[in-house]
Amino acid sequence: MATFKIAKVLMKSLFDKPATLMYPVVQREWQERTRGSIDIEAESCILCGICSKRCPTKAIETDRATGLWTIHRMQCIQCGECAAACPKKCLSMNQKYTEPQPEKVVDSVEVPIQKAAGGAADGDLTCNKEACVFCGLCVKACPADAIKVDRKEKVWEVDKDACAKCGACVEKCPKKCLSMGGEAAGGAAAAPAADAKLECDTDVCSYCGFCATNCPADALTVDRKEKLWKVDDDACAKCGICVEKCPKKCLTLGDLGPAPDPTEGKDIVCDEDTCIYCGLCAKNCPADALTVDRKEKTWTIDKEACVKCEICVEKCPKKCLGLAAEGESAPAKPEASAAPATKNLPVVDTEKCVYCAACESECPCDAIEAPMDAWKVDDDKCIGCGACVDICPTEALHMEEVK
Amino acid sequence: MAKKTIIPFGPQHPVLPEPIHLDLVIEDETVVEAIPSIGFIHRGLEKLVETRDYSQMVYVIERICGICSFGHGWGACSAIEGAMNVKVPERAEYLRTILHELSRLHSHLLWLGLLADAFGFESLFNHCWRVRETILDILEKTTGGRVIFSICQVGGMRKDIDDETLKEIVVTLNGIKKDIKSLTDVFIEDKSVKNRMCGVGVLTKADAEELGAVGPVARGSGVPQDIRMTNGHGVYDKLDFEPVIEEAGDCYARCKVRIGEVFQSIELIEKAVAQIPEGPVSVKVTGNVEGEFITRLEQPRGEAYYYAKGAGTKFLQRMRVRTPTNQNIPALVKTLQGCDLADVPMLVLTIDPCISCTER
Amino acid sequence: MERVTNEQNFKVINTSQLLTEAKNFKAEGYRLGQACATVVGDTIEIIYSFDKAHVLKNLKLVISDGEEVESITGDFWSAFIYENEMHDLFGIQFNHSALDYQGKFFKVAEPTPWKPKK
Repeated sequence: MATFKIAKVLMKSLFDKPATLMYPVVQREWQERTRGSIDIEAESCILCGICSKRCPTKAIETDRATGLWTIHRMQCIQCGECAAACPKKCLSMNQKYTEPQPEKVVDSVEVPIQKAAGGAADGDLTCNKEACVFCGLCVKACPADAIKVDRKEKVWEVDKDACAKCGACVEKCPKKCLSMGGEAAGGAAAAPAADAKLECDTDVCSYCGFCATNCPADALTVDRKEKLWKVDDDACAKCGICVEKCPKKCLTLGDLGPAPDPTEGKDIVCDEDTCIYCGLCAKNCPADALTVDRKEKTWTIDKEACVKCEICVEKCPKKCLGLAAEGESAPAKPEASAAPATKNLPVVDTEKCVYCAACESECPCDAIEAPMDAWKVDDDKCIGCGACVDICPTEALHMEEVK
Repeated sequence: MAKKTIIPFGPQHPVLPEPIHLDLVIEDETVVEAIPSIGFIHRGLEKLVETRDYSQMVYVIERICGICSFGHGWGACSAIEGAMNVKVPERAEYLRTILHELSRLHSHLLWLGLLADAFGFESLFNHCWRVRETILDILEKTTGGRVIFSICQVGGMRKDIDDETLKEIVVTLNGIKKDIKSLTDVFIEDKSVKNRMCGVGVLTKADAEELGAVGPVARGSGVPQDIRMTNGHGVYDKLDFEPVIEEAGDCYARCKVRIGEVFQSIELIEKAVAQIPEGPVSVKVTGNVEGEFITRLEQPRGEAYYYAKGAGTKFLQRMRVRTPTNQNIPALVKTLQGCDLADVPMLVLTIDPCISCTER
Repeated sequence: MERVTNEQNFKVINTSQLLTEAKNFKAEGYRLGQACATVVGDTIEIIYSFDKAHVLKNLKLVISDGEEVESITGDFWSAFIYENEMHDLFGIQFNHSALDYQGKFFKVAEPTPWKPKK
């Protein structure tokens, strides 16, 4: 039988570095997913109170009257339910835990009081049944699952206890038939007749697919290559959203024709002083109406093909595009929106990379450095245009979405 | 004639691992009879069903115990999903199995450390817990918490763990395998350790079956009982394995069972990661619980029952957790008869008690 | 080892059948899994689970508040844990128990906190 078998382990631990940190001199490195405490972005908060309803330990209190969002830090169990349930996504989980204190920690944050969209903040949610088309978009928008809609039976009901009066449904309703307290405004036009059929004028249609993306019932199929447009009449809720959204105004629903085109007479223009010719707008254009040449520094638009969907305006990293009438300059650049939640960054396969630095010279933002064995990209400068991917001779680069 | 003395042992005692109270009737250093008594940390968690709806109840049930936390979360979700007839996506089942095996790993390593501490081998105790820290780091990286995970929800998992992280987990575990082996060799082969454990606290197979012992206590006595052999929870039916069974029935056998399960868990995790499919990790669940459902899980300590009953409102009518230590206490009382007074804390430890689970 | 699939089963019995059923299970080699009580309106439902080689069978016993139940500790000694717990929390009286703690098993602030309130 063996004796002192622990000798091997002891010898090894004599010469290994210690397994512990010299805390608090050396701080601990938190992992990305560690659940420490809850942070709130007060500007986005609408004091709807869903977080306080979902909290299993009743650690959060929201007071509409005084505009305060309060959390009892010592009650909080860091489960993350509030962050998941918040309709405005203003709560997030931080990695650092709350430091212990001699008294229980209670944090109060002042939230600028905003009126919930659609009327008095303390009224009940009502629906104008004349205007309602029972499309169900409000059901999808409700973070508390408080609304029930049945398209066939023409039923709309709300569970008053579950309703947090956040107003998300009122915003989403295409017919504007919902309101919080007081009479609903009612739809712009009477609902189309029950047997109205959705039709598309295929001569005008550019098959951009905008109608399909916006359809709440997933009733449309559009294929740009095959030049195919199809509607599933059973699924179609006859809500008319597609008619409104169609950039070419090629859809009609019974009597419901397209609303007057607000973009009539306007075209997409590019401010060529700011433009860096990255080509992102051309890549994202659903109608292939844009041509961008980085070397020649040219930006051209085919006005016939352009459907004025403004996807290019949204995607442009330099915000140099806009919709303007003949002779006008592009509208003022929109305020810098919050950094997008996800970003596209290039990732290198070091096996394939030959460090020719073609990507470095191609990059319009000087975000890449490619010295031997040390390829790197500056996350802040990179705009995700993909020029490096296109130029790489060995296909060593590809774009990846990162948070 | 030998004189009988009654010694009250616990709930607070330096060598006692858990707050259990034992009235030991001893005759000259040998324990003749032991009468257990629990109830010092009854928190009444199950009564919270009246004020917490079913998805919030999962958080309550998770916090019944710190060591078996993942199993409780899974069991509670499983019982509610069964009552609502919800089918969880396959990737979620795989992830739950992987995390449950990680939980078993850390629980057994914790127990090995406590066992070493029980017979005074402090350095071995600390080494076992040092190795356990690697597992806790893995758990924190994937779920966000070292002890309480909050990752199971009714309908699946709250977060996904991507394949790259899973592969890293397998690499890490294989890396510490050698470390664990050098520690478990001490338990199995060292002469001084064997002197304390062999032949002590024998539970015969007949006794184990009669008293309904569960978990490694039963498997150490030769009873082939492992709930992972039933179908319907986790993906154990897709991972080919046999439970670890020893025949001797003494402390040494129970220790060997748990050590065998440590290495088996590493293998199971590796197999599961190789087979895990792509897909969503949760389904949306709406509505209320109507009806009742009973499900069982193999916790690190043995078989655990989860019973959920609802009557159509958002509050459940009953959420019951029957934990393995509950069933092992009669087995403990039997093993204590005839042992030395000095062995009592070690025998209490070999059934792996978890009194916070027992009393909830 | 063979794998087993269990279906949900709850066999409803009344108090007079309890001892016979328990003895039957004991004779066939089943072991006691758990016993649990639920308050349903004015009645109390007690579920007993028995297991043998991973096959699970459940019995459901419905009693009214105040009714007394026979203890099965004669056949399954480990039942004393569950019966004492149910006595302390729900106020159910079990007769002829092999190990009765007289209400001192769990230390609760108020006696029988889960008893159905009148």
